[in-house]
Amino acid sequence: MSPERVLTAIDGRELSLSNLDKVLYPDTGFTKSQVLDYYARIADVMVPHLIHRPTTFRRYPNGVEGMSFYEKHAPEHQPDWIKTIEVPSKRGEHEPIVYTAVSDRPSLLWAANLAAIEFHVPLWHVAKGKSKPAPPDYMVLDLDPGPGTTIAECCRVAQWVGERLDRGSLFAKTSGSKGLQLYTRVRRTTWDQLGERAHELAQAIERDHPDEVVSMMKKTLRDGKVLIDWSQNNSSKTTVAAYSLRARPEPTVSTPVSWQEVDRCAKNGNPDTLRFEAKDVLKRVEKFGDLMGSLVATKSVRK
Amino acid sequence: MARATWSGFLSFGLVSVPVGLYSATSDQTIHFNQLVKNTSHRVRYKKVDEETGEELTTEDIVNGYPLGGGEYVVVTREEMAEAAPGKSELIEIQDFVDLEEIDPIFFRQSYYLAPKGKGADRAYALLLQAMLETKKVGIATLVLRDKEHLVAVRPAEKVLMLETMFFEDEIRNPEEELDTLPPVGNANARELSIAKKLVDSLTDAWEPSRYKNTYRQRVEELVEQKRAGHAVVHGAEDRPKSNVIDLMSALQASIDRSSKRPTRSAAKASAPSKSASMKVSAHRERRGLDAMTKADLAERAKRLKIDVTSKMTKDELIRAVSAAKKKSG
Repeated sequence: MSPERVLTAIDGRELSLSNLDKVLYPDTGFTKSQVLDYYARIADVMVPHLIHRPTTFRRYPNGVEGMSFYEKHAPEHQPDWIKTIEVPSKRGEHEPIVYTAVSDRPSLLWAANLAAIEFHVPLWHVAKGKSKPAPPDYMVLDLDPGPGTTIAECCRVAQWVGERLDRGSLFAKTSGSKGLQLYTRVRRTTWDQLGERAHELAQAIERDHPDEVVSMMKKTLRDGKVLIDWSQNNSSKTTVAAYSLRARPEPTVSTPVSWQEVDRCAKNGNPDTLRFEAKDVLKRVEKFGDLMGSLVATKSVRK
Repeated sequence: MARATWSGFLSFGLVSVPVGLYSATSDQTIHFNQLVKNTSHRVRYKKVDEETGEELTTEDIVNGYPLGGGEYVVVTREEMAEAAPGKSELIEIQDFVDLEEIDPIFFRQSYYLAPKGKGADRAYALLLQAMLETKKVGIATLVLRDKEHLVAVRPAEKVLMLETMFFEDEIRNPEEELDTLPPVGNANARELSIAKKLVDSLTDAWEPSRYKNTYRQRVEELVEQKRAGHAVVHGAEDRPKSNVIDLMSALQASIDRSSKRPTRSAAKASAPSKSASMKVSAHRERRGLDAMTKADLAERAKRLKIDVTSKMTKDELIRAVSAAKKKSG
């Protein structure tokens, strides 16, 4: 029998972990301790993608097949060493929302211990010492394969996006579910301008490749096509963070991939070449480091 | 099956169903016997004459209704029996009301009503279904252990329940009992909105299994340790710092434990026959499929080489996937 709770120490912080032996992925027997183990090992590359960003946890207290809920507000019982971000409401109609800020390995593990399997972040951050959100940092294009298509078709679309934007500053990661997400850093722009730019880009690619691409959300238009979801470029939207596990039957991860891998998958058409589980991702990071590292390392995010 | 607390008829309108009444809850309080400290002799209560100290028998005792100032009206056992409601064999539903209308303060204790004897099943099932579909609760009176009770007969999923209730004059008025109640309704709007948000953020589904009687568990452990001859150990709520272990080793220990356990797919492959446990896992599987989105199901179906058309409903997809799984598993 496993102890219900175990008091542990990591990086100088104490964490009381619960139900370590609980299976969170019933199909594969992946347990809570394996989820925590993954997050402990991935923290070094993952935290830079979360730091200074109000983080929404998607919690699965009874595993990925059970009920889930989004935790947006920092829980009351959060230890005081975990940082929070207060975000004033837009029109000042209510009190600021207090979010949990994942700023180091212990805070990532504290959250994961609440059965937070997925971590979602917005495209903006609140710089240290500032009380107001910064303007958008990134533009994201969420490539979502419609019925009859896979991530391989998304890779083809990514290549077309890469022709219009500079590949060197365009970063790709799998969603960990079905699609592919492209990120590029933006500077001194407003949300309106960002949304417009993303929308125009999606429409331009749709015009060039009307049989393969759709830029409108409408479900009926999406058979056999890849949706370029540009609407994520909005201050109220969050996207799954790089290296977050996903609540799928297997413990797949939203994984940064190289252009070489994108090209190869577009060519061979095999979606499995871009499907990575926790253990694969740890090996990849050992080998390649963080393939999206230079996206977050840019100086505008002050640490 | 446990013995019925009461047997009789549940009746409404022209239908009358023979039923038995069974307690729906069980008291898990730990009971002790009182002993004399040094001799371990049992302690007994005795009824004695307050003036003379002489021990009394039941026959010596009558009931006195206090009038104050040491005056009593004496009521004998026989007189009490005459006033008592006759033993009733009938729960006669007088009215049907909405359950939400009854404040939980009225409920005393829960019982199950079970059909009794030949032919009772049909009428019982009919009444249960009618009440489930109309979402109504029947109000009746019942004499139980010489006492008249107000009761509510309510439909649960598979069984009729009977709740004994307090009469209205038994419920205390909080404004008479408590003189420190503040007026409600004029909270500051901003504070109210924060308080409501706090409530929302702590809102969760009601899961009774999450709450345990930890006091009872500790008492049971204490008894068990003493029985086994061990010294009594006081477990402190906060363990000392020396018990803190390295997080990564705690995880590794758990992973090692779990790796000895077969996963769901491995368990299925090695199961020798279609046992009950397989049925359970098939049920769990199905429940898992229910929780998936249609798009996820379609994807899984494709992986199982099922022909998926966009016209398929979610239910059709679930059936197709579980059928394919059964074949391949």
